[in-house]
Amino acid sequence: MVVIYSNINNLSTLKLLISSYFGKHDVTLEIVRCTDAKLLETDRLPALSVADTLLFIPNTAAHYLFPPKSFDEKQVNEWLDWESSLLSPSIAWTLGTSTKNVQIKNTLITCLSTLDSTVSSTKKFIVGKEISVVDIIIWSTLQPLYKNENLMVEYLFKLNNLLGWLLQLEKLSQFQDASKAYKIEPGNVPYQVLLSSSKYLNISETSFNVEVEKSSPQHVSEVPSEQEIAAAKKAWNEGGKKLPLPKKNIIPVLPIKGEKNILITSALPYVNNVPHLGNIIGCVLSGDVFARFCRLCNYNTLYICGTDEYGTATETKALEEGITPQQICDKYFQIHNSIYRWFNIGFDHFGRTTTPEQTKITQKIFLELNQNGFMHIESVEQLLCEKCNRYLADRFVEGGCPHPGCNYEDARGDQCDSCGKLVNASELKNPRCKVCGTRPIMKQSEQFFLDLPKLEPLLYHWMESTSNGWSNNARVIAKSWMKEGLKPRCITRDLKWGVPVPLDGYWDKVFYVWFDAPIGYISITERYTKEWEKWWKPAADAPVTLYQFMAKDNVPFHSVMFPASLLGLNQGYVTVSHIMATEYLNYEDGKFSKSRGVGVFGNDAQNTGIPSDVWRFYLLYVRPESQDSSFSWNDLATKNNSELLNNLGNFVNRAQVFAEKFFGGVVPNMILNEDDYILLALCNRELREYIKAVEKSKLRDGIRHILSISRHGNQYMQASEPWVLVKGGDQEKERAKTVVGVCCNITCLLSVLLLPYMPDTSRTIRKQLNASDASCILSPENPEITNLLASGHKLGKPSPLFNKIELSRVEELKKQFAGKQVTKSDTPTKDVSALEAAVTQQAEKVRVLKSSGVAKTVWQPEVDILIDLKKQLESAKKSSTNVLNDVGKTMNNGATSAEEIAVIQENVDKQALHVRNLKSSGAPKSEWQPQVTILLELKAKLAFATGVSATPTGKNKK
Amino acid sequence: MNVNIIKCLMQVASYLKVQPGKIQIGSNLIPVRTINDSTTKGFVSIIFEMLKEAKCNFTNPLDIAEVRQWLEYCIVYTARADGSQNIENMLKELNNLLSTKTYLVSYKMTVADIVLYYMLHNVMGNLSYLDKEKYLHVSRWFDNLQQNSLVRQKNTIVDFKTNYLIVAAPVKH
Repeated sequence: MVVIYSNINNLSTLKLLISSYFGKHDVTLEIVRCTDAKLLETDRLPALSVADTLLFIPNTAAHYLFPPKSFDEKQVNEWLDWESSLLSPSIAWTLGTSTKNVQIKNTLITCLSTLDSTVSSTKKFIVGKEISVVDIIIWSTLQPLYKNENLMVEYLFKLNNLLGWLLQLEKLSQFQDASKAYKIEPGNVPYQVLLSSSKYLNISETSFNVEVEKSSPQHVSEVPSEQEIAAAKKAWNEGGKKLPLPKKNIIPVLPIKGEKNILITSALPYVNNVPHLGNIIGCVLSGDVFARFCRLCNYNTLYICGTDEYGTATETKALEEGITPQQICDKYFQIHNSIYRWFNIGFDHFGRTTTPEQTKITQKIFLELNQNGFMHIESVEQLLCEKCNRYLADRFVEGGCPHPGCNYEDARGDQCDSCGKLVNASELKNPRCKVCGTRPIMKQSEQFFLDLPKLEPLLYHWMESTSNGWSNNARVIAKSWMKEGLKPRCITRDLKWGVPVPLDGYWDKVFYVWFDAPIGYISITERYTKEWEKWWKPAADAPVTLYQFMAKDNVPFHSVMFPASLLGLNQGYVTVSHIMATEYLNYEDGKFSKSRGVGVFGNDAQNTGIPSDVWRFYLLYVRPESQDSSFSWNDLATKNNSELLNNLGNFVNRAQVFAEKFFGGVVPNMILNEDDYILLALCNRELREYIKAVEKSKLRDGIRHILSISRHGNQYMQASEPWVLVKGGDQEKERAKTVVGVCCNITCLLSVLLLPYMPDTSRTIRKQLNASDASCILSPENPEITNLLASGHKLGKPSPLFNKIELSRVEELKKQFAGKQVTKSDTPTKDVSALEAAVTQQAEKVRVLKSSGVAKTVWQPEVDILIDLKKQLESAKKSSTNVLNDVGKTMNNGATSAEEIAVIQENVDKQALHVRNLKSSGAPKSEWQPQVTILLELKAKLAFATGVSATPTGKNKK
Repeated sequence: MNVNIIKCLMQVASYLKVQPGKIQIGSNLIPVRTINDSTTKGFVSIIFEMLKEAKCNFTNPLDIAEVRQWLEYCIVYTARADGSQNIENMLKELNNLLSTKTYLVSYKMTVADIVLYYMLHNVMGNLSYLDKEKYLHVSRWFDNLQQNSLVRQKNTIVDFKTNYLIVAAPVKH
């Protein structure tokens, strides 16, 4: 008794039914639900029950019901493998879900074209000359697809062989009977059933090889639809009429009624250090690309940034360098400013926080928050140095580490450098002022607290409504803060370098940096324009959208603290609607470190000889969007050479060189045919995706779409071969003109799309094209390529855009920025007694640590140090005994003089080295054997002279 | 899940005492075996070729069908199960299917058991003791297989200690 259990609309059931008819089995079909009690063993459907055995993999069951002829066995097996691991999952994932994965879809398209090239009107079956289980299985899998008109047009268009094969099988009586016995709805539904019944696991991108996608030319695999082609045709023929004119540069930029007004800020870099590449891509560069994109779309765009200058760290740095905090700020402000200028970061204003405007606004916001009841005073214990007359910030106190087992004497007030643990300044043993060394006293000091718990409900509702536009990591971090519950945060400090608290009795206190730094955005805007309130307290009819770019460590301040302050004011300040946070950028799998000299810092980039546009391109290409990414020199060179030079640069240059060489530097006459419109439709697709990606500030994706356009262009040129056509007849010449003209127009589009990413390159291309500024505009509403450069347009002079970066140069740069590496061989061997002392000390430390019961992770590094020290001691001892032995040997000699023995010893050593070299070079025994004999003779001589028996060399090895 | 398909096929070849030939991963992650100028594509096909070379014949067509079924299961589901959720589902399913069986197919060890053993080796090695207990039938089946040194080859023995007290109540010094 053979039973097929199946749910409804399951195409795999067709496989079994048809196979059973061909195999002449008598089967009954039972419709069940997955949860049905009959199927105890599995919930995969369909399942075939034969004599107590349940076959739940459809291809296996079909194979069992209709086994192939033995000589076809191997081929059948291969096709079954192919169907189960490629065709079936890719069709289920493409047609059975709403998520669109281009890679999986391409796999499906490749599968279909493989089939199309396998069958033909003469080869009627996939394997052999007769029908086999392979035909049945594949036909069943494709049945709901080809029965649905839309899907058929989309996927089987031009695949006539495959279609013919499908229709011919359909006529067979077994297929007809099965279709009658078990009805399947045409379209997507059966594929949803396929996905759920056979439980295809989520296919990660690695499951399908990328190679296929790469090697197959893209515009063959993704044919644009009729509508897309028609739209491309229409847009092209309309020309640039629909495009608005770019806005004139008006300073200051202000929000305008009825237009899109975009305010962009980048996290204020802290002034006491030189920014590294990670800092640059994390905020200022990302913000810049987005700002340039907004300007390109004709939005009123203001991009604000500046240096964050107040706080303890500046004071510390000033002490270190022996100048005033203001001088430190002035010095580093210049460094920051020049670095960003070199990277072409186009701020509307790059300001700083040490301005009168900052003081005024910070104090005003504080007073109003206080008035609204969101502040309270609490007393906090702090260390006061009476000699210096100042409260000591954590970093200004040093003393013994309070953690048991760590006896480090110079722990800082916030962290111990020896054990790495966090320290509470008040717990230090024997604390002392870092500046004068006096013991500070503990004193109560009153501080202001921002009452976040009171603001929490307001903040909660605000976050619910706005956080949809934030990057994912920003949302996660902010939500986790809210989930934990907010606590009052101290916003003042007893320091000197900052904005003073404007209340009597508190003038000697300043605001904590995190409170006043975000206010910097407002004060810097005020420095830019007196009408700053139009941006920050916008009128109802000219609303402003605020985008803030930062690295993820800054998210709490921008998502919780700063909005809480603004909401507490209740004065209509604009709050952030898009927090765009990046993850971290690593340097060659490590971290950037200024102190160790590892990594590339802003000012180093200029000295590498690599243009700033290439830096921008690469940093944006590896922008750490959803996870940490790393900067790699090799990758930089590869991306430059493959993407910029060979793809983009090659296309841009070729199009113009042809125009210059064949058509006198003028855009030739163009008569577009179907192929050209297909190309335009493909580019339109990328253009649309580009706009979508950059609008969501997915800058990495944006760059990939630009590169796809030039890739399409290259393939088009390669396929059309204008250099051949131009030598042909009149018709061919006309064709060459069209191809070159279209390529020039795509180049013009590329120059526009590149503007946010690589402004210099974009300008160079536009100059080469002699393109007018009027066409340098993007219209997000009509993202279609138009005829920007009309026939007869005079072009400029083409020249190559990019240079190759040689691997040898990369190696040099890699070495240059790898930092000072401590090589072990360079460390002088310490003398035995010093090492012994070190070992005892370290051993004691480990004992104390272990007995204190701390975790293994804490004591393990110390143990490692101990082991290392012991090894050093051992080798030191050995080398010293060797010296002693040598001395002894010479002393023991009676018969031969010391000089003679020394000579023999030298010879022995030389010969031994010779033999070793020979052996290690892999020379045959016949070659080294005689040398060994000589060595042994020498040794015998030495033994005789010294009276010590010779030791065979080989056995000295440990 | 990190399954090295090539390594798995090499081990199967070594178990069956046939020449592995040259095994590579071709496009779309499909394994390709080349031996004596003939190429075979696809995981199941390669194993069936090896069985043929090893002269392993099954008499019962249903047994072949079941072996085929498990091989397809291994390559389509087991090898692709990544992420703890998928692995958990798969182990649950296997545990259910193995609850009434000693071996996957019929009453004796077949190549299906061997292949699944190689594919699961990593997963089983990383399970906690509590999880090993949770998938008790899989653990029993796995432990039974690994005792056979021909099957195990160079793989490490996965520990299935039954004395869970050690874990539940660690000794305090």
